Amino acid sequence: MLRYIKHHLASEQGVEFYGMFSLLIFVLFFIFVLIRITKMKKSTIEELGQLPFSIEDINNQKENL
Amino acid sequence: MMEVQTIKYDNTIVKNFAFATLLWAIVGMTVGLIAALQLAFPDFFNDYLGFRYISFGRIRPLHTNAVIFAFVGNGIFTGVYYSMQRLLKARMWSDKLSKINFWGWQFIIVCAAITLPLGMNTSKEYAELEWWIDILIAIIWVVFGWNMFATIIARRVKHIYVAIWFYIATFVTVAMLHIFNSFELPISFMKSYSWYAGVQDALVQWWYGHNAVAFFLTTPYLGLMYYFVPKAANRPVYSYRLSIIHFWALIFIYIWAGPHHLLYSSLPDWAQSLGVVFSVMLIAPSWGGMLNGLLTMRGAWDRVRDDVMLKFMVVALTAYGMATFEGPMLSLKSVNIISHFTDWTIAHVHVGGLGWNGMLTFGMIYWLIPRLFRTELYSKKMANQHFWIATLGIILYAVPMYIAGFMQGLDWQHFNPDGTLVHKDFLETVTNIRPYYILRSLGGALYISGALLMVYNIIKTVKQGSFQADEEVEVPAKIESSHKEKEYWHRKIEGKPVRFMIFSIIVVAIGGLAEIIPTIAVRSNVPTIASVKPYTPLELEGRDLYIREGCNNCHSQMVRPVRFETARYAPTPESGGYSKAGENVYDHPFLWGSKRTGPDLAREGSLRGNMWHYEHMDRPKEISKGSIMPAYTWLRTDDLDIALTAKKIAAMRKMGVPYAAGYENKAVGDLKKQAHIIAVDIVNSMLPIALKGTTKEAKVKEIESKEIIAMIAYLQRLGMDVKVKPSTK
Repeated sequence: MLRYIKHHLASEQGVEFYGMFSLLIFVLFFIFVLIRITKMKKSTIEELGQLPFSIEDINNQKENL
Repeated sequence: MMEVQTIKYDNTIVKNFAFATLLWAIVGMTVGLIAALQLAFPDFFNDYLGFRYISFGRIRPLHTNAVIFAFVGNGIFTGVYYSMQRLLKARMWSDKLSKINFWGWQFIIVCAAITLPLGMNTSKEYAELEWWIDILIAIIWVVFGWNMFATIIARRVKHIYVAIWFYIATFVTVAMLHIFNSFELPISFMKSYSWYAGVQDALVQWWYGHNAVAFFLTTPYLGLMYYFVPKAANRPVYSYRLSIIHFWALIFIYIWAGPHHLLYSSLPDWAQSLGVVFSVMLIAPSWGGMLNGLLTMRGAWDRVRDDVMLKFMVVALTAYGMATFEGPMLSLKSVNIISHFTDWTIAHVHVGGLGWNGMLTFGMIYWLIPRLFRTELYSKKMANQHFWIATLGIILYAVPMYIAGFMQGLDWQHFNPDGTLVHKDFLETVTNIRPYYILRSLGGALYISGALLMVYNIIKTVKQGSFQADEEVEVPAKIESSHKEKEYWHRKIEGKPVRFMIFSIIVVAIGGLAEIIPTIAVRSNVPTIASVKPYTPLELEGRDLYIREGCNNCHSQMVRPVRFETARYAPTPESGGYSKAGENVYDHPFLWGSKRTGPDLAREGSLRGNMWHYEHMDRPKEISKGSIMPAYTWLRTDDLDIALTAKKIAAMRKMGVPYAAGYENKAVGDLKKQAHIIAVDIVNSMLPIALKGTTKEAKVKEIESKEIIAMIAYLQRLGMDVKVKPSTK
């Protein structure tokens, strides 16, 4: 990729490498996030989801269930 | 026992922003309706309301800016200022900064509402405001961000809820987009030129333009969705895990998608393909977020029947789902070739704007105002009526526009068996869809009447309630820490707002850099065409008039490299063929346009005589029967302002346009010479009766200094650099 920047992309030949590389970065990043998220504790997740609510709201929700 | 303290949430700022949202909703939508009516009933607007200040080209940007930055912008601030204080258990860090944010933003809106109808604009879509307003926007945006980060740092909770990540991403990305897209060279207080030219300007513009949709109309509203939908449904978001993936995937991918606005244009093909791939991928996080919102309603669907706020939110999320499914489809080249430049795009953005942004804002306001004023909503029945009127309005708006877009897109491609175009006359493809323009206006009018009903309902609610400016709450004195065990990974960045911000910038910058750096740096991306020369001073002035009148809102300058395009706009081997990147190297800013309400003009030069343009600008409907173009009578009566011509030439040279050193001193002389030649040509074509008793010389003298001459000079130049001239062949 550096070759393109150093030589001001003198030609567009092989430029598809650029897109492939970008896609690869994203896919790796996505897989990383996915793996880490599956490893999160259920209790933590539940606690985070309740952040917009007050204690009364949460008690209310429990009553409604 | 946890130590508690009493603090007060600032509700005044929320109330102010909510009222401003309502005010600008009505204003922005009304301007939109006027624009729509002009296309539906052009005769009325020309014959009875032929004012330059409300001509379509000037108020279309006013409409888009008003609904995006005034209506939705104030909506964002309303929701952010309300939810952030509660999610962080902290009052906004500085009331003064909140106030500066509020009044500064309203001042910017007023500046836009004055300057755009006056024709002061940069021509770049959703970034039309002139340079000093851009600076004001940057300052006020930083004030907002500063207040937000200071509040986050002063928070009394450990975790930062997902809604706030969306606010942070919005702040950093909008700042980045706005600054990069607004590089412009001021000529005077009210005039500037984009620093970028041609294809590079186009790429930066649509990198910005698309992400204005992404990071102004989407991410902040997703933040609001993650707060207000669970609040209204009184249950936590369906999957917090999904919200984390939603956030990172969305901000990562969105920033790449801009080039799908430039498919089949002269943007390098690799950049177009990159835009398509990422646009298609975008469907995954978008739908992930939409489903996360809708599934929050699980087990509470029965309440949607009775709770009007939930109704608005469900329709908002459904519209978001539809628009984000449609977006990737429209970015496929085979679909885009039909949809691009047509009303299909208009339908698409209005499903997003009216459906997603509008309905979510209405739901939020209906939920908020009774809480701020400690009362019940004045009339739930009326809110229900609003809901149905608005929903019907969206359908009545979008469906005719889909039909119109699809029809026109196909009409353009329609060939006879002998290889000639069925609708050779562009105008036919416009008159065919006129009835849909009328229906669309009706849809828009319905939607506004719903909004007016809401304003009435809210005024009544406000009157019956009592406003609580400072809401007292008991909050923990210090950050709570319920988790004693090892911190989970995301907390490491999420708990540190500055680190979080930097990480967000990196994630969004990857896409931006990958697209922008090569296009800016790479010479081979813009092959030079030796015959392409800078504009003459008169043409340059004409180009500025073209920008002032917003001609680019209806006319593209981009012949796509497909047969039905070249058959229409460049039918002979001499007529220049499809548009090439090298043609626009001196175009600061580019003027490719994004919608064809009128025909493409990239090959307009020399197609018609000067006299034709002279008459057509004055009475387009007489010259082209059935035309819906407004008359520009003032171009024939107003003198061309040449006070800045020399400065403009010097500015262009500064940006790399090869005018000879010192040419600015000769520019006005050359301008007058060229104007004289065009004026003589026009007068020579006039019938004696048109001279009205004056001599030809006197008539030439009368018209050669008028704006129309510069406009004609510019139009006659379009495409001439690549057209093969008989003598040089």
